[in-house]
Amino acid sequence: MAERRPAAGWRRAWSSPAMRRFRRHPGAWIGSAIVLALVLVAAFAPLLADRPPTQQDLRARLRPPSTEQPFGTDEFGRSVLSRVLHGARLSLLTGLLPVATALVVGSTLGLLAGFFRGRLDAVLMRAMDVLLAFPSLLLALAVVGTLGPGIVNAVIAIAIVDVPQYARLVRSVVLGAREEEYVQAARALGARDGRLMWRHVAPNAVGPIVVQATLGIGFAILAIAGLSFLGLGVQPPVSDWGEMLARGRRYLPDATWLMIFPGLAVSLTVLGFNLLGDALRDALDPRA
Amino acid sequence: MLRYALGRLIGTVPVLFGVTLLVFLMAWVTPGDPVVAMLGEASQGISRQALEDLRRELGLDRPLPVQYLDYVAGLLRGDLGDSVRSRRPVLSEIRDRLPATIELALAALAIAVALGVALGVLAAVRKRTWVDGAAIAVALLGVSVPVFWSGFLLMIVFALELGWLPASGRGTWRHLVLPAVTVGVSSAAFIARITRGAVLEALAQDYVRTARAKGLAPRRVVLRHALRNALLPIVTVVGLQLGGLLGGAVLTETVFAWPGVGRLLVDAIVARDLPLVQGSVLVVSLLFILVNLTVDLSYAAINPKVRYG
Amino acid sequence: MELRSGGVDMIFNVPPDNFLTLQADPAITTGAIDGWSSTHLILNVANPKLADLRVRQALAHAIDKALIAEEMLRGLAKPGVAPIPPTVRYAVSLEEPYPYDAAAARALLAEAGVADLQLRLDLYQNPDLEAVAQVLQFAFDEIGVELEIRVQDFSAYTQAVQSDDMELAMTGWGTVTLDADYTLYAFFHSGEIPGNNRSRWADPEIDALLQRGRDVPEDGVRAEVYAQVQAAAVAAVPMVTLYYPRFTYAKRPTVQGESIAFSWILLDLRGATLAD
Repeated sequence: MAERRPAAGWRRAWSSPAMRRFRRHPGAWIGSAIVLALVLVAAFAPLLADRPPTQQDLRARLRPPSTEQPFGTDEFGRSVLSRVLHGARLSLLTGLLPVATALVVGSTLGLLAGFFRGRLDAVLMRAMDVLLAFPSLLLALAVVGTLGPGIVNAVIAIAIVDVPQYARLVRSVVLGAREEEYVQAARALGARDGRLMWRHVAPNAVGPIVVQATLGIGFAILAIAGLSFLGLGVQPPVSDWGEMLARGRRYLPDATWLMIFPGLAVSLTVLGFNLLGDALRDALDPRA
Repeated sequence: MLRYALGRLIGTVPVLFGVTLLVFLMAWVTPGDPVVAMLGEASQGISRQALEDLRRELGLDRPLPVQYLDYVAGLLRGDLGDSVRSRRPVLSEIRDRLPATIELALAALAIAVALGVALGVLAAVRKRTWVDGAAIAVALLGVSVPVFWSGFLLMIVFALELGWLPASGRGTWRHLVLPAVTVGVSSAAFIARITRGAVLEALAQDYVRTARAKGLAPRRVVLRHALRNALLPIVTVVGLQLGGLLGGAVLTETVFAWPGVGRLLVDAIVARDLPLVQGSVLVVSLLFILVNLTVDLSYAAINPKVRYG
Repeated sequence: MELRSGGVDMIFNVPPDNFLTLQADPAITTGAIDGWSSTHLILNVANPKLADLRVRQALAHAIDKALIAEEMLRGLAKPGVAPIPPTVRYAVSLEEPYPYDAAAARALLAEAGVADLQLRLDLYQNPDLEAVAQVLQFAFDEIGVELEIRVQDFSAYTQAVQSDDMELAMTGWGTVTLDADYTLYAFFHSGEIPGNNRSRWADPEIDALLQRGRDVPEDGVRAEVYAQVQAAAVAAVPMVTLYYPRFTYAKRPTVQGESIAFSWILLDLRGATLAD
């Protein structure tokens, strides 16, 4: 991992060789560009789109891509371009929410486990093991199966799937930090735990957490699109890219544009996050 | 070895306990009354008194731990309850669909391992050349593209446009091709990434450099030394993939109308058929745990170092 | 897709868009028959939001039935007016009292003093109904009414529409006896509330007429009775009959000699052969 020196603090993390490696990584630029583009599209979708995503025109149903409708129209005559652009908002949101939730919850659990050890640690880690005993999509399906289909439940499901990663990660960082002599010394000298946490544990944890989160957003977007595709995520008439793919299925093989563009959007978005995540990971781990 | 195996087996017990507990609790976390959830539509005409009586009869008014033990006892007997929709035992429903899922999982795994390991090794050996770059790019695409999209693309091209293969369903070996390739390629991407990383790491080890210095031909070095040590993460991820594939490759099964357990689960969720959902989740996770355990033990049997690690 | 690739020999209730594709395929024979089906948007007149006739009229004016039938359903349905399709005995051909007119709709709502109306539409899982529901949602949006669509499985739907806080519902229907009484009695007699009479329309005159239609088995009397009921029902808007879907099927030429009347329920394969 990153250099471990006494008082490895925030400033060091920021200006470390890791950041320089990151900047040199080709994937970093492409990935960042894609993610940035996504954020911009999500923010400015109404301005970018030619018409509202819900505007119907029954006389122009299922038209293939043309100059005036670059992505074609769907079965209600709505602009696929507009719907794909607006879909970015929902995708970004449903990608960020579960990861943010899992990050907060998981890190807290990991912190508690690593710090207090003993019974709490054993119980928490066993619980994490149980969650990890399920294949991820299956666990998500189990949660949705319990709570019922719906976008909120889908977000909760993905968050639950992700929690163990962060818990384990933070826990191992905490355990590692405990072993460090300087930390033990500081404790012996009476330094308060909270301060120790912040100055020594957090900087070491930030890197892997950021990597995990970035890749996690990509996974979350993919997973939620999948759940929506199965009809278990967003419920009509709300629509996201996954739902658009599910509906477009009915019009195969004729109206292929209904499936091509939403799928392209998902792929590109996830690719962006994966590129970014990979670049971050490679930057933090010089051996690759 | 035996002690290691025993240790692992015992270690699995709390996990099994946790899994069955979670599945059991599903009935209680679900919004609404568990009795209603169990009966489904049939519960509509029934009076409150009758529901109360039913609850007592089924023992649902007893303390939770007792009910849980009862549930586990039922599991050991092979009783997973009855499907609300079809009224058939859950186990039968799953048993009907399991062969299809296993067939798809094995076919996809074969493709995934062959493709993934080859690609990963190639990339690692040719590091920093265009081959590596291309391989990374391909693998990256593989994990970014949603399986239900690539499946449709393949279906459009090979089944609908060219007509070489059937579009959906299960029957001849031809029906297996598209679903297996779809899921196999996606899985291969994951395996390739891990393989590349593992092989690179193994190649960077000191003993490898020593072997190289001794003048052994590079290929021998790779195949004999590096690969053997890279095997652990590779085998681990293969095991995980197999588990995931058994998870029903839900999305692919839906795309190609493949009659497997994955689709069974989704249909059950949509129909709010709780016993079937519980049963499917339980069976698949048990399979997953079993697969991972087998993978761990086989690996430990091959490579003694792991046992004492 | 299966039909085209030969996996299946005959399919029914073909979705309209797919129907056109199949029609164009020389290897497939398609057919569309006037059946006994009708699709309705039901309004709960007992609900305070919909009690004012003008509100209901406004909603009726907001719907472009011709557009739905021609474009959405690709001409595989006829725009509806009377609650029973023309194939049913004693069905009358009425003129549409509430043609598509968004301006008139808005005016009526203003006149009734209604602003920011929010309504909920209950329906069961059915792709065609769900699609039409979305068309309605957009149509109502044009006149300033916000429509929430709630799709559920059939049993949950049934519970929802039998509950008194039902607002709007959409359903398909089939007059399987092909006699006006079957449908009109079910929909409009106060005794059928809330089972089949989901509009909760209770009008003693209508009840009397419907009863008469049952009591007096004379053709002339019944025709007169049911004509009155239909005219009244269409005017008072306890429901809007959206369209009469035609029954569609598609088959490979290997299937010959089958006889279909009105619906797949009456598919008669006794005379059919399967050529090679």
